[in-house]
Amino acid sequence: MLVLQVSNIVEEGRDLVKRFGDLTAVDHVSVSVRRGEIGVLLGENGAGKSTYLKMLNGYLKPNSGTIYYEGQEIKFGSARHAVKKNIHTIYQNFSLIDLFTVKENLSLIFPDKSAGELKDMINKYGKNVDLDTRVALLPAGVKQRLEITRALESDAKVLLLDEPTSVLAYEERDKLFRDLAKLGKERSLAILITTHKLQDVVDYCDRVTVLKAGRLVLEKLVSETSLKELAVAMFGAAEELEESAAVGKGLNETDKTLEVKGLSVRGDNIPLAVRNVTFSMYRGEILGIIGIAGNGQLELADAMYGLRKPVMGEITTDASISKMGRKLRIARVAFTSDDPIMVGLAPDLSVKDNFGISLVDQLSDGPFVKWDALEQFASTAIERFEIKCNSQEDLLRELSGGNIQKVLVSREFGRDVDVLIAVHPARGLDLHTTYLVYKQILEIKRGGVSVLLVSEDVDEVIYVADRIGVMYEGQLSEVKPKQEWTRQAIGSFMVGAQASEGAQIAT
Amino acid sequence: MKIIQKREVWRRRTRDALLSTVVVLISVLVGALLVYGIGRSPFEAYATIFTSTFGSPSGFLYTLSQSGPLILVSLGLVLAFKGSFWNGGGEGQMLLGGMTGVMATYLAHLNNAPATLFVGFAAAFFISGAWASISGLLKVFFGVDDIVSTLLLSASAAFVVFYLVRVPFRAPTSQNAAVLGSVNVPNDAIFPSFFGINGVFPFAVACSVFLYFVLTRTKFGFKLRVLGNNRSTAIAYFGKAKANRLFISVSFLSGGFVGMGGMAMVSAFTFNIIAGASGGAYSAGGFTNSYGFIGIAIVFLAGLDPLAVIPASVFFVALVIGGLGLLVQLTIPSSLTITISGVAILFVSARLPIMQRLRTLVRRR
Amino acid sequence: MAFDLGFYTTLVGTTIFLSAPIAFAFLGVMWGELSGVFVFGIEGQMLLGAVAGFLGTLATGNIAIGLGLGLLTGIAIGLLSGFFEVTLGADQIIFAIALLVIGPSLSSFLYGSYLGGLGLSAFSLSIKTFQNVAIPYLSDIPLIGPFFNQPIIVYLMYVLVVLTHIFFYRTNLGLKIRAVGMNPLAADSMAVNVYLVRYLSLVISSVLATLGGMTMIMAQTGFYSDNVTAGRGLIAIALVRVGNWRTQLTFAATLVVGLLLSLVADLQGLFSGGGVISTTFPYEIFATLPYIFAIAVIGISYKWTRSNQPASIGRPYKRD
Repeated sequence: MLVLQVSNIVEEGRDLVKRFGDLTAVDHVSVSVRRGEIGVLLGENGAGKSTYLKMLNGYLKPNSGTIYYEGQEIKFGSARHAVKKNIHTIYQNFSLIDLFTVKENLSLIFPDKSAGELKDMINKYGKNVDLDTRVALLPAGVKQRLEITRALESDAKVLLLDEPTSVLAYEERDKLFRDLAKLGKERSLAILITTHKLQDVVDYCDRVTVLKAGRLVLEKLVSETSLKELAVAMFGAAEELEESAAVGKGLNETDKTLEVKGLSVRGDNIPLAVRNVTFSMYRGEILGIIGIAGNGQLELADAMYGLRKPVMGEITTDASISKMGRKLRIARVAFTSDDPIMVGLAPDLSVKDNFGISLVDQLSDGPFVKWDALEQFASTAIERFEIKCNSQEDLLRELSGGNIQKVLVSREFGRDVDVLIAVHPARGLDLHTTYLVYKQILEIKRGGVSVLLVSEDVDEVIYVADRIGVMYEGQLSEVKPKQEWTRQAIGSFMVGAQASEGAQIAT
Repeated sequence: MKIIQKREVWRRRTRDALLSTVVVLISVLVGALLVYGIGRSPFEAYATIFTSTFGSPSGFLYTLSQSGPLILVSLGLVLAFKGSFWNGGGEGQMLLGGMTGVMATYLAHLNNAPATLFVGFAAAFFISGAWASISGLLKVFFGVDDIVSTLLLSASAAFVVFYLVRVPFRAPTSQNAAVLGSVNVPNDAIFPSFFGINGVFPFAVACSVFLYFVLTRTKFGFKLRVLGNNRSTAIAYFGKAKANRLFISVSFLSGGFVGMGGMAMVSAFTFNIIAGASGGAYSAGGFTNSYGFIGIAIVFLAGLDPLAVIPASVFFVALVIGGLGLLVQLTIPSSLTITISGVAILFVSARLPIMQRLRTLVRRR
Repeated sequence: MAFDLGFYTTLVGTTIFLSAPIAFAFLGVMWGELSGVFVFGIEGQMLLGAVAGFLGTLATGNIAIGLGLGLLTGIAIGLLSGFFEVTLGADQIIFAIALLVIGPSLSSFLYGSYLGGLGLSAFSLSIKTFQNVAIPYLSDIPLIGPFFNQPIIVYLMYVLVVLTHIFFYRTNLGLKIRAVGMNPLAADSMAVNVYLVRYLSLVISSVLATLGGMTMIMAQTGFYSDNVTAGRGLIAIALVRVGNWRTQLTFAATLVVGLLLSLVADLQGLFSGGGVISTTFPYEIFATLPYIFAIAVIGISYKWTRSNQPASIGRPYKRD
């Protein structure tokens, strides 16, 4: 075939490896960014896409492997070094100063341009944006376009976008990609985006690389692959679900513990993180809600525990937990958040003290804390979950990340409650402990507790849950017993491809 | 496990104590440099300080007595910082407490020492506590930064006290506009001494033990510590309303103890309040000896431990009193020792970054 | 009652006169805080600048050298603040408290040692203060005349207020500083050197503070006394919040405080028969007004309006 071919590869990472402590985030992956093409890194959260991007733009240094830029090997000293080489990155949370106006932000980036020149610049790339508006008031799509403008005006050769569609509404997404395609061709830009949304890949991108747990699973031109193939690459083959240790119970109205109706919750960066969600929870069952990070599950869990006030809809509880309000709710609902250091633990207090946080009301004798009882609880928990620490008096922050997680999980799992809301309980834990955690959840369920498991891991949810629901962009799929799902169906729902793939295969 | 636990706790405590000692030594060194800079002998200066404070049994006992008010003020600040309440208004709260004590005991006419003392201390506790809790309320309901409001309110408190001294409670004999004195407290409000030590010292020690007990053994103390360490966690597991109520209680109690420090000062040493008419904002005519700020140094050097506050306070009070000795005997300004305290605060401000760097250095080995 | 022009003229003149040190102080606060650093310790810097200026003038008999010494002190403290707060990332609040303690005590120590060395008592030393310099024509205009019949250093203050305003809102460097205060991470990504900007702002802030302290002595009293600044620094911090970090409002608020101060001084004069102590009127309330007002403004703006407080204030910046 054609031997003489001018390479259109602008930047390339070959055999890159990135480790964080014991965790290998990127495991010998090679990706190239080509001129005139929109490339995409596809994968679930934690697959390594953002990490890879951050090596291509100098923010992180690879542990091994080489990066080539315009054919030459290059080592970035810092992110700014890459910018000087015309590699521009647009992150999810923008690098603009919210409280300043558009003009002020642009003046900072382009100090030599006059106000008139700035206005021309804006108009070149889109509809009129008033220079004197504060950036905070602009919709996400406009902010993104400003960032793109900034990159282009700085003579970008490579444009990297990290999860650009996660903050966009549907119409904005369309516009973004059309702009990228047009500009890419006009300016011979090499564009690489990361996403977890299959639909984005199939509709708009040219070349896709699928990452799974840090490894490269598939690399093809989008025109040469299909949604199904991509879904399989991301999640594994479509198989029947194995029997697991969890067996779903029959659901009885009188056993209902919590009922959620039409719940909508505001998000931090987007107007609605949870949209019109309805489901019920029952005694003695595990309801698994799975979704890729950023689709609203965290906000849902927060709202259910009472940390966020819903904008619409209601959460009603059965008679025994219900209208007593917050105080009783706290007593009867256990909660493990997905970020223990932020919510759930106190880093500068001792391990023993940390166990007391949600137990102190039960383990007290009038105004005095029953330290003996607390120590007892703590030693049992430490033993059962194999928490590594010198003693209970260690400061929590001195423990390793996994052990910190274990403290939170063991504490909440050990409580005598009606409902347990567990968000990614096995995050950061090794395989052995992960199964310990699962065993515990099943025990708790058998004790009649109503468990809500919020997860990002399909395997976890399949193993543990009785009923499963999938969250995508704030909406919850139909909640069905596990036997009525397939792994592939779950995966498809997670990336929003449910419409095209059709129904699941019933056993 | 128990033995390992105890060992762990002591290891950590000694490490912190070591760091604090280093800070103190550096500050003392800076002080020595200053003395040398004005052409005097640092040895002479420090020797004088030492002899006037610890050189004789009576001096030693006097120093201990003098540490009473400082201990009380520091205890108030321990509570505050343990609960994440940035109390920069110690000066004003102390002054207000002292003035309240003067007024309450003066008006009470009880002629009964224990009762009068009780009235004085209780009044000081409540009024200063209420004043500090304004900042607590402002933070919870209006998002006003506690450090800002405590500092500003402290300045306002000074003016309130000036007015009280100038008009309703002025001593009839005091006519000098620059330095006005209030009425003296009645005799039964004077704290008695026992075996050469003024009663405020054992009283302060008792408070310290009490607070230690509260912080380590009660539910309230426990929740306070959680709130101080991680507000989000406290809100999540105690409820937002409870967390807010806890914060306001902390501010009240903090002001209360600081106020009692003011009353202790009046009851044992000054017997009245003297207000300078210059309208000094945060340090009023020398009554407080900057205890409201020195207390902050003490609190951090003592690792926020109510018991460790005692030796730290004795040390700093020795500096302050010794400073007065410097003036009398060597004509070196007494403000030297307060400067030394200030330098200690300076290094305390950097303790976290410095500890982090030391830790990475050690880890590299 | 007829409008007493003489009374008015004196009042306005005194108002500006007394506002000047506070104006320097608030400029110092703005420079520091707009880059995102707490400057609550500014009272300390004022005092140290005052004592340096005073002793410098006394020792050499030359007021210019005194000024220079004071400015040098300001630069030194600014660099120290930068080292602790920017390079080390120390706790800004505790650092401010350190300055609040060291300021009065160190200046008292230096002054006392100087006196001691000469065997003199307090209040026995004074320097010649700046005299009023009347600008021709402008100082004769009724009503606004007194603005232009002030010591030189007050004219410097006018210039600095205007320059500061123009600088922060019309120049790129000013924009950079404000960007650092709002969002140091974003500013860093815009190739702004956050550390350098903060160091610079702290030095300028400190120099302005020392100017304020020196003004109190060299233009006003001529004496140095312990704690001569008497809370002016703290008032300046309050005023910046009242003025919502904008120069115009803050300057206006400063003039109001100056007015209050001159009224208090007048009151003291009115009752000169029995001395200030004989009036039962609680004029101390006026002194508390700036503080109460500041707290009220901060509280209200939290609920109702948008505060211009630099968002990154109080948090050290670490690029990881």
